[in-house]
Amino acid sequence: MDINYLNELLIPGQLGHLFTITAFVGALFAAISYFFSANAKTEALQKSWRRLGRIGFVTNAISILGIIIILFALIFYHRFEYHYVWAHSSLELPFRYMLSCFWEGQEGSFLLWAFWHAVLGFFVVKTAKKYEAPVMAVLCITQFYLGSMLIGIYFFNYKVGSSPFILLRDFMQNAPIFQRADYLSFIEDGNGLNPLLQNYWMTIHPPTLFLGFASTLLPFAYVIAGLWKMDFSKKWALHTLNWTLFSGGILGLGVLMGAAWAYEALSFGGFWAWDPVENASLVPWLTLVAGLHTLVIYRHTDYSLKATLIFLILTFILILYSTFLTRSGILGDTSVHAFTDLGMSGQLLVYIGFFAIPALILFLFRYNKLPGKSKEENLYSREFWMFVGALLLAAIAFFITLDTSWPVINKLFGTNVTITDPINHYNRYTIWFAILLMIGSGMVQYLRYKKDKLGDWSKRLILSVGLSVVATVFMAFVSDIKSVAYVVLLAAGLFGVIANLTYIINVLKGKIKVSGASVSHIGFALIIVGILLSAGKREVISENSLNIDYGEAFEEKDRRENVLLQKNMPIKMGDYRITYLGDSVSGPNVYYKVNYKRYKEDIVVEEFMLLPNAQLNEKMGLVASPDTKHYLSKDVYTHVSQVPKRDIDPSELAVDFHKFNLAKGDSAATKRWSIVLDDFNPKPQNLSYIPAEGDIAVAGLLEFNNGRTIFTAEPIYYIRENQVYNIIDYVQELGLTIKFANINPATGEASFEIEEKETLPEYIIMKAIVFPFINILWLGCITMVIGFFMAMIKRVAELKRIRKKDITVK
Amino acid sequence: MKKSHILALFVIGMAISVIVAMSSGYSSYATFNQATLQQGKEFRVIGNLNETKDMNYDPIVDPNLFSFQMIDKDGEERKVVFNGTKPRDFERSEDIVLTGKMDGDVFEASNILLKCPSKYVEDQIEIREYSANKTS
Repeated sequence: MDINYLNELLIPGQLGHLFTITAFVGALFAAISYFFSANAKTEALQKSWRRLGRIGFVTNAISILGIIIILFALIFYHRFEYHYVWAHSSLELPFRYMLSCFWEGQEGSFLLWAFWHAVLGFFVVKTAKKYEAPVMAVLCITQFYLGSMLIGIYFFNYKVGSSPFILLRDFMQNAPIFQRADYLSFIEDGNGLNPLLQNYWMTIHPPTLFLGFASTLLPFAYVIAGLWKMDFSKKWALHTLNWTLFSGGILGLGVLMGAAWAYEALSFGGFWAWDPVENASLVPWLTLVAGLHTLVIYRHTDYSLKATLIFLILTFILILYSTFLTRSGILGDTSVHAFTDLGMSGQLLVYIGFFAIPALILFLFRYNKLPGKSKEENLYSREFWMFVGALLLAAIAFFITLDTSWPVINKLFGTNVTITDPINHYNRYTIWFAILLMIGSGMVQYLRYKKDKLGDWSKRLILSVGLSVVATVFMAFVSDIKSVAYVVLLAAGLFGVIANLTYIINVLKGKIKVSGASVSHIGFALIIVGILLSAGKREVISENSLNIDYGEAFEEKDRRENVLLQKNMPIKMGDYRITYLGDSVSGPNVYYKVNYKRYKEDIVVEEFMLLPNAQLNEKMGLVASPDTKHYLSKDVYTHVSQVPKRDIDPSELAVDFHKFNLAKGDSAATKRWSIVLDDFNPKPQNLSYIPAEGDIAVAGLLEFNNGRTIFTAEPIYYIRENQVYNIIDYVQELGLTIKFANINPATGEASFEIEEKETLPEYIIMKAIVFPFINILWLGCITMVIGFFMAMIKRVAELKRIRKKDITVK
Repeated sequence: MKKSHILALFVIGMAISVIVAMSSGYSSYATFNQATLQQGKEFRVIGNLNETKDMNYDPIVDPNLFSFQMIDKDGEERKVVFNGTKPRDFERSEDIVLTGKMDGDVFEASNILLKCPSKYVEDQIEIREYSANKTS
């Protein structure tokens, strides 16, 4: 098949391919050089190998940057001959979302990941000193593996990786369109970016999360370096602690940004759904934080080194495992995150094995030589209870991993287990862990390292306990919380906040520099309190607003959370009277104007407009984004669940004709309306009817009711000079035409002709939820992340101090 | 008794209680027949929409009521009732994953997960080519 295709731009793709190969080879070269540098006996040899390693690493970093720039340029210039560009972008894609194309596809995600490793690698080269060689050897071997995901070449009929520069015609070789040399002129537009990603959160959340993922490599690499060189010195611990704090802060931020994105942009009505993809990023964070605590113990007491090593190795392995879970397509039946399988599951599994097995073997090999203490921790020491806390974190991580892995377990062992109601399922047990963690975070700081006496421990805590009890009673009363589990959780959360706050004030004397840990604990406790108050007490105000009796078929427990809003017909919801005012189109989005008014004794005391929007996407159906009114103490959250099709030809609307003979008090029914003839009016008045002398006139007073709306119509029948006239009543927006056709004076029966035209549907079906005190949650998130960085800044300063001392000693 | 023993007991006790708490949340994939035998128990059922039968959704009457006929992997057909809005472009779904329980002969779904045609299907290119041929 030799076709000279027209108008293709192949040079950037070839250059890109070249870069994928130099990135791959550079990483391998760097890994090998750094390996020899780490094992070299003499300083000269170490240095020369290290120089080679740096050259390889820089080659890798520059190549990755080159790949990113070329790919971005191809997206920018809409070169749809490239499959990645065609699949993930389109002509109308705004510039600000072009970067988002990187994290929609698998190749782009690996690219971003490799990019962050490269950035972090420069910091390692600059700061790691004697740890540079072993740490960079681990980092570069990871780059080598990520590079292999991007080269897309065949080794013995097995495709290794998938290149972002593959051409559309190579990707779909069998499509007949590629028989034409001028095929490009028929590909007018790309497939487009998933509308869910066209949201400002999606321009900041994925890069942050990927930086978090990438940064877990460094604690892992330092652990491997420690095991390799058998160096678990103070300096090693400080380096590892710094990177663990950085990683914990960034990964935590990434996870929480995901929650914020889900809340602001997705329409499932919450911020955490225990979706496998969410769990997969939460679990490594939990084990990382467990490792952080045991590492702090090790620094102070020499206990818990083995646990630290295990947790930090596990964290990185879990990151790989979560990549496998989310990218292999195995979660298909359980996750709404639609990642497609690029046929690389096998490669991902090899990737996990490649890191997990050697790390484990190295750990077991060195196990007996690891420094440790034979004496047990004291029961009343801080280190013992911090260790218990770390175990709790690891236990949650274990159970969440187990429950997230059922699709994998089912596949491996032929079992058939699934979780039908994930949110309740996970909440039911994580709530108890959260309670224990909150109480622990408040109490354990008041214990002392290496002591076996409680001393005045209880005395120092009594103030916090007292304040927490008062605060709990107050909050439970204000927020109307009755469930025992919730009250206990609230008490634990408030205790976590108050005990840590008093610790900063009373024990640390308000010294901000050293209070990073307490600040993080306060943040974490605020998150728990925020979740409890906002999610536990959330109120769907669009519920039960229609007082329609649906009959016995519907039980009370049936959730009826959506309400239909006809245009310009107000409905009362909670404290508000809301009206749908119409829509407007902006780009791919349709914005629905929903007016909220709050009344106090018939006077409008507050009015605002919410603009929930939806994309009516051909490929994904309705993709709704909520709009939220933020108050300090609550959020009013609104999203459309369904809208009528917009493109209906008016001539296609169905028209029904009815003829009813009704006497006074009789009723009739059409498809949508029940109609009652209330009365006759012998003296009709109407703009179109001017009474004249000698008229015999009568109007029928008809009441129309559809269960939601009631209105009356008054068609007129009159005889003037022996001539019969009818004055028709119209209800335009409901498509009704009502004609009083005749009356039989003998029986008193009147005949009405009713034309019922299907209306051009102008309504939205929407859901509105009030989240009380959700700002406590966001405040907690920010506080926790700040705490991580406060702690890190302190350790970095400490590291610098030690360095200076070293230099002066020399 | 050593502290590590207390700790071990504590962890084991914790694990047992969590597993007990977790077990009530588990269910399994089933067919309509299996779900019918265990009325009221929650299952997940995978199947396809029976496109020859009517779907019922009239938002004017009730925006929270949608019903349709689904054929499961064994070829059994049941009416499915869902208390929510009809997912847009429901007709185009390939596979439907329902969560819910049988009530008599009707499956009450609490959750519907649709598997829609993947973005990567090749026929999108073919469709485009078809329209191009008409103009050329």
